Amino acid sequence: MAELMSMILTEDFLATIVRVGVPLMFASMSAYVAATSGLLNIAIEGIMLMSALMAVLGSYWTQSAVLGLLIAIASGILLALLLAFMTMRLGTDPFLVGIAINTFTSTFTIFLLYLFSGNKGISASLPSKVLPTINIGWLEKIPILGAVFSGQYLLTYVCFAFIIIVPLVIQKTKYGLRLKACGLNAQAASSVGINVNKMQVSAIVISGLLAALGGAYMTMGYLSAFSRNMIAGRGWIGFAAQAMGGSSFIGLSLTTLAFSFFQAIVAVLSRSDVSSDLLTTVPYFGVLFGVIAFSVVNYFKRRKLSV
Amino acid sequence: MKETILELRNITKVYHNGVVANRDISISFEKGEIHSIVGENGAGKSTLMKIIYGIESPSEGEIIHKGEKVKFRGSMEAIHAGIGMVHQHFMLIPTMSVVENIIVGDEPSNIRGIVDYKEAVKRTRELSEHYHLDVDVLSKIEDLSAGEKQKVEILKTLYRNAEIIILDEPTSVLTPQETETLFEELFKLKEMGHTIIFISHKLNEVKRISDRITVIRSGECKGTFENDEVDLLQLAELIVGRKLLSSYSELKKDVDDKKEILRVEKLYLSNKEKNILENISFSIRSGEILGIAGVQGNGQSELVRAIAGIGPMSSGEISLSGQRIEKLSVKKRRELGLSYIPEDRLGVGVATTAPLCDNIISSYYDRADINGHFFMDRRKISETANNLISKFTIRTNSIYTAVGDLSGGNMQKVVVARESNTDPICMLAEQPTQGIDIGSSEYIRTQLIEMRNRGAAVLLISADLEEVLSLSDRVIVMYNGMISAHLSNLDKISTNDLGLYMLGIRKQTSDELKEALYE
Amino acid sequence: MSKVKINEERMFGVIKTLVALLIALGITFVVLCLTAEDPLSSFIIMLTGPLTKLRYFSNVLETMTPLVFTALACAVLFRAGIFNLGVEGIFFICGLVTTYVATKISIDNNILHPFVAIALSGIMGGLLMLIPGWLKAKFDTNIVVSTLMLNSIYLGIGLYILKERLIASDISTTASELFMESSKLPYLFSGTRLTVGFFLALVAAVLVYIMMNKTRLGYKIRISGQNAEFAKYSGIAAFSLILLIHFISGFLAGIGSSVELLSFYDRFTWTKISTHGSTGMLIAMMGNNRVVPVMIAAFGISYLKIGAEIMSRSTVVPVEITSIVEATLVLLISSQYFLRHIREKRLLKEGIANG
Repeated sequence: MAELMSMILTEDFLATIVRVGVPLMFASMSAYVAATSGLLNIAIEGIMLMSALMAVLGSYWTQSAVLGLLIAIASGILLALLLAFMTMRLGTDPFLVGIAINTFTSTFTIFLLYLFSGNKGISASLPSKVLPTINIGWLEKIPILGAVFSGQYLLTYVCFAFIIIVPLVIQKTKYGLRLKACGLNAQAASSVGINVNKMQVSAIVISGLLAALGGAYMTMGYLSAFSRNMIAGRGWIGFAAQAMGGSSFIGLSLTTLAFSFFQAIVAVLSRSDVSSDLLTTVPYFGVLFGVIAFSVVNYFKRRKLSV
Repeated sequence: MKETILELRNITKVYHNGVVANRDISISFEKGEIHSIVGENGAGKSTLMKIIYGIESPSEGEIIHKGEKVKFRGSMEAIHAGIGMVHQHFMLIPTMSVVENIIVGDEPSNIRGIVDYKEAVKRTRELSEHYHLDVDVLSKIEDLSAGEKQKVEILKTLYRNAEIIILDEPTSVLTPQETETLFEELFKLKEMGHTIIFISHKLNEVKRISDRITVIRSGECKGTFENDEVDLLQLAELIVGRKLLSSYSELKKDVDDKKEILRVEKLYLSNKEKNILENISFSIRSGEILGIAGVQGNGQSELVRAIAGIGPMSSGEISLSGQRIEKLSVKKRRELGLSYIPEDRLGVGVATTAPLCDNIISSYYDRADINGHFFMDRRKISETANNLISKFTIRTNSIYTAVGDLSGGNMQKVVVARESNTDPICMLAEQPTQGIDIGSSEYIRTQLIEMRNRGAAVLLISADLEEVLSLSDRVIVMYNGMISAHLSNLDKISTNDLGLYMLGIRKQTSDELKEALYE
Repeated sequence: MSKVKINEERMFGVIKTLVALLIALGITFVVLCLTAEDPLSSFIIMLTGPLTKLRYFSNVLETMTPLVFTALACAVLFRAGIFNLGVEGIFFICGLVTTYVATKISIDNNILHPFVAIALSGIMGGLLMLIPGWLKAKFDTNIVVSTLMLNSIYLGIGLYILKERLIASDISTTASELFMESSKLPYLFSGTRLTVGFFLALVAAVLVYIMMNKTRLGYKIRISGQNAEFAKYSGIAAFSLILLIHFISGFLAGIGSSVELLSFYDRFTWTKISTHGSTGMLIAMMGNNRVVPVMIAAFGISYLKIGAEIMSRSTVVPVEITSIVEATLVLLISSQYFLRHIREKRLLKEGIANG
């Protein structure tokens, strides 16, 4: 235990939280934007997986990290649009579409992977590109802050930027106000001439973009290759964080931070001799207990009404 | 000199499912008039308004606005043309402020894309003063009364420079006093040159405020009249197309053995902030209909859900024929003879995607005489279903038709058929005729009286004062989660007095209220 | 009149499915054109391959066997309106129960041994499924999230148990000891690998059909799935019902896992969550959670998988190409409005004519 504490109480651990937390935060924000407009994006997991692979394939084809990233984003947005089209135009249950997309991508990514690398497990044989790490000289010298905010991957800074932009847009702009109106009462929004469909499509595109960034981060920063099912529930963790944080962006961020903490513990402990199979379950236990605690609290709130 | 501002020519609307909502309707609206559209529920009034407002497009026919032929693709275009609509159900976002609700979709801003809330507050305040529509623009919608919400809805249309304002059944959630205030506001708007299109099925109100009246019956226009050309009775007959049952009291028969059936004592329901139900006590005897009057949202719904066992309660006692039931499951309560017609027909009363035969046995599917013990007995079930269909004249293709495909009236008959098929000793009827056609309403009301004549106790909750007063033997009024009046001599009650109790302006003493509970 | 209407509705369903299938195969063909060297012949091999040899056709039924169980397990829950995604986790962990019985407990009877293994797996599956079921029934815990997390947790714990308790001493890869011969399910016919397991799958389908369509329990499940509020109002108690269907679902998944292992495996070799659960989920959706269409879909998907496998031997295209067909079919069949306008146009004309 003392050993664990000594591992956690370091600057290095904080940096690890950021490193493992970025894809979770992208996923949470993706769920948040969709939910604000009144949609459930169940396909975040699948979108992340697809764009993680497309980032590898794209940068391999073009031999450019930036173009690879753009291809990853485009694939994520396309999948998000498919979700929107199926639910809004063809009237399919959003849960069903989400599950179908997730199952599809988990198999289809293997199809593409094998087609281009001849391997069904990992893309190590493909010379793909990664995005650069950025060092901020003056920041590095400050203790703690330096470890957290300097020397991270490019997409980490993109994530920080979105953490500031997303709540600002929702709270302060016309677009944000209308988006909230769509989510809270779509009929009311439509009665004042807001095109609810258009707003929701725009939200799902942003949601797809954020999920795609989270996916690309996995293969262009966190790791440098694609391996099958590498998202491993990160999209769902974001989905869970949104469900628990509700409409509050701060609540969402704190929940995500808590989940990142569990992921970071795994990352740190995997260097020790604890069984790695059991260790991988820690973050899932974290989320599981999170949703259980959340529902139990709500249950007693409801009960209080009817004692 | 009268100036026509809007004209409908030969409008026909057929929905995708083949329902003809409007057929060859032509109406013209003049500037600065209050023009009422009357007709029973389902006659096609709402569809017609949706066409004017651009939500629906007509299958045939044209709309002339200020002399020009227009075709609105969506409500945005109608709004730009100066048409505003106040919907039957509030189109407001409860967790947002009045200002946000008014400006959303057309927000002021100084920097591109950023909402200028200061300017927004200023403008909405000015608007509210100019039109004498007083409301605190900074409060949240969920804290407002129904009357204030109605004002916000009207302000929303005025903020968008509406010249024509459509109000769809605006008084259904208002007390008589709030209704009167609304009418004063409408008269002022009319004087300022606005055209008001007033949709209602309440003829008194229509006669009170209209300049002209157009009658619609089963999708067709039955003529436009100057207000003084027609009297109430003529209007009613035009709307229904036949003579009406004038009074239900003739149907009532005295029941010999009057014992107490339902007894509710000191019922409370509270959340952190306040009591939603407070000290509710009343009882009903066999062969008696107790009506609950009140503006919707004053605890009636919570009360009836608590009695039925599907909603919470904090403390108190509920007894059915002397047996305490407040801790029993829904199933046990039903077995003891409780039945319930819920207000939310689609959400609670039926499973719309399930076939009629599944719906019509849901509350007694395990009774030995209509079903097998382990397996479903299709033969007995279809026998039951067919019997009920013919007894209640439910119009359906077969017992396998999905209930969602039936009309509102027939769907409600399915509910009533099921709930009365157990010969209940106590019937909770919550808004039993809301939103259905006059024929079915009349039938359902008659059924309730027959149930009473057979010796059942009936609790009737209705937003329709006429209904409550014409069916009930006694009435209690609910305001703000409490009983504000108990009235046993209904002949002497004026709607004005009732309104005062409904608004909480007047409240009976606790001694008077004690009479609601039989000793 | 009424008869005609029902048949029309069913006819529309069949047409919709066929059109969806055509579109799905069309997309597959386009992908083949982009990837295979000789797309047309590859395509034909994929579509007709399973019919060319008895062994291939038997392979279809073998593939179908576990999928019937997982699809039924999903369909029971989905029909009740519960989006539980836990079948794949249960399928994995119950495989270890079977493995334990098949490697550690010697019962010298080749009927009793598999029976014990299958029964224990089923019961284990049912009990494990009660965890998210109880949380859902009691606290309304988000079941999508809880079951997904449990899937990953079962994988981690399962691998730990496999490596610590059940690992083979004779080979170096991660796998269990060999299953005892007495534990394996007997073959149905000589010449194929089809076992009694296929027969069990058919029995399970018939039982689920009877349960869903002929019993009061099935009635309650259908009513709760269509409108939970309505069920509550009618006095149908949700709590015990939710627990019961979770147990049934987990039971089916557990049996399916056991049948799969004891029919087609010599030892436990899964180190990842297998696709049986997720494919079962897609099949349940394709069949709209009704037993007969689910069985047809299970057959169709298995047929395609074997076809794709045969094709993949002669081309570079991997079997995973079937994911395109699966996804397209699920999305189009479950969509409310796909092809709806054709029907609506007719209704519109009728409406104007006689309305």
